[in-house]
Amino acid sequence: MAEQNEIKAEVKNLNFYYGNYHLLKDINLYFKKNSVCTLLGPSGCGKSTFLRTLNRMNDYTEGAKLTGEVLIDGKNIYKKSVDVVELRRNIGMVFQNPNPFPKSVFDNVAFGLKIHGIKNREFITERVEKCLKYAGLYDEVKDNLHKPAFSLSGGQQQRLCIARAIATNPSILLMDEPTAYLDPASASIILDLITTFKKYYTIIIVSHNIQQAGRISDYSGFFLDGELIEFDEAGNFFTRPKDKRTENFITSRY
Amino acid sequence: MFNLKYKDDLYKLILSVFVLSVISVFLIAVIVILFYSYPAIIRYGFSFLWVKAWNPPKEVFGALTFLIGTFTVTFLALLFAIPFSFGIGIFLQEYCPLFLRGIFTVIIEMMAGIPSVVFGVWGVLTIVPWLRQSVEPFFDRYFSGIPFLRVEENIGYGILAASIVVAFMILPIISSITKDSLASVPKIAKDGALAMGATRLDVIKDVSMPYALNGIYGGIILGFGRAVGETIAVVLLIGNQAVIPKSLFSVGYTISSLLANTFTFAVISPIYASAEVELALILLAVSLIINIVGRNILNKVIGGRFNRSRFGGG
Repeated sequence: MAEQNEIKAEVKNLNFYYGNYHLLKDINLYFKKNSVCTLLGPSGCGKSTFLRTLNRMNDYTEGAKLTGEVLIDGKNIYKKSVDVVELRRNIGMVFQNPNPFPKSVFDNVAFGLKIHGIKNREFITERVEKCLKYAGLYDEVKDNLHKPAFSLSGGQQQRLCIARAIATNPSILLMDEPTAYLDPASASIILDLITTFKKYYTIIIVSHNIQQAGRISDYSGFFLDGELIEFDEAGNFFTRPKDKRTENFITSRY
Repeated sequence: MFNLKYKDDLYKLILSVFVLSVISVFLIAVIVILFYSYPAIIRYGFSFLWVKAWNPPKEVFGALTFLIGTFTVTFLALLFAIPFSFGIGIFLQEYCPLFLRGIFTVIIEMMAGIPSVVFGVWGVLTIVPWLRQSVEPFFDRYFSGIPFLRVEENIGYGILAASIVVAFMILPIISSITKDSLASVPKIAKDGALAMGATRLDVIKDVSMPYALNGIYGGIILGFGRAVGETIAVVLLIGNQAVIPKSLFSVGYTISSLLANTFTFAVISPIYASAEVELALILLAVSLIINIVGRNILNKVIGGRFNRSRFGGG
């Protein structure tokens, strides 16, 4: 398990501004390889904005400004020479609401492969099946691969989005409250997936569900008003928080 | 004097009369058109639709020439307008800097309000000479062997001139609806594609356009509705001869331009008038159906899409 101690990504002195708002204040933290890190905090604390800085999703937001460094595998992703398309191929993202494309189940998963120029149909078919299996969806959709993705249930759509996110074989998975709008049964399936997935990926999850976070985390961070208040191994974080504000949050006083 | 309590009822009554009078004028118009076209409908039956002769002195009336003229101009206008409208809509919504977007949008919406006779005059002054002096000689020289591109009379007026100007008239409708449909694509759907490393072009092609497509269909149908009924600009440009156009450069006639030119003296003969009113009936039916279909599509899209994206369709 020596690999587990390797640092996959590191954030140094990150500040993020939107117009006159200082949304993220001097964030410093790291993500270890093949670990699950949950970022907690009340709504509007900046945790989703932070997640989006990790794959440069704020690039197209007019009026956004960022200082500091985000190092992935030791390289600053905000350097001018970085190819955003390549960067995002390496970082899968799953959103709060299931957001399949207006395409078939199959084409949703194949999308990433196709836009990255893979044309070999056999390879694509094999990869799509594999990812659907990983996401625990294959058995439910194998007879309907060419039906529209919108015909699936909400929970199935979210697993489809997970399959889609891992199709390009990323090394990092970002998840923005992936279970927020799902029923408890569907949410539970996705939490189990996350636990299995850390064998393959470094997983960073934004959540405001403390129970769920406690169940799956290796590391946890607490955001409040754009500041990272506390960051620690999950064992310490949930049982012996150092900061009073963290303690208040995890005992649900916010 | 009035008791205050009844005042509201009085207002309601007056307003209802206004509304009802508009509806009844519409219904009366339909009834009048049906009434006056009745003799022609009885006399010529369905053959009215496929007879091409139009000879008032001999009382031979067939709509085919004008139907073909009308639908050719409409079809060509859509063919010219659609690619440009898509381009304009996509640019305004996806690429245009914010401070310019407002200005461009206002300009395009103002274009929709320009009276059609102004478009017609502009066409006579610019499009017709351009066709006569540059385009027609060019086609005559290099494409004279191709059936639909043959130049018969080098006059500039004709199907192409009318279609180009009508295309400009429907451009604002289709482009602003394209823009609005793209604007209603949920951000999260676009983010999903961007996060996978899609370029903005990929996002437009694979996510935004498929999402927006139903709305855009609605826009195209509204554009169709406008093109099919367009009168004054076409009268000025199409050449006004009751012949079935054989090429892009042929002169022709549409239902609306025929009515505008001849209805005042058609009323002398009851059956002549009746035949023209039947043409009006056809036009009314086509544009009503088209508009109802178009609006339905637009309404459904707005309702349907939000439910789907917000709640995962489950």
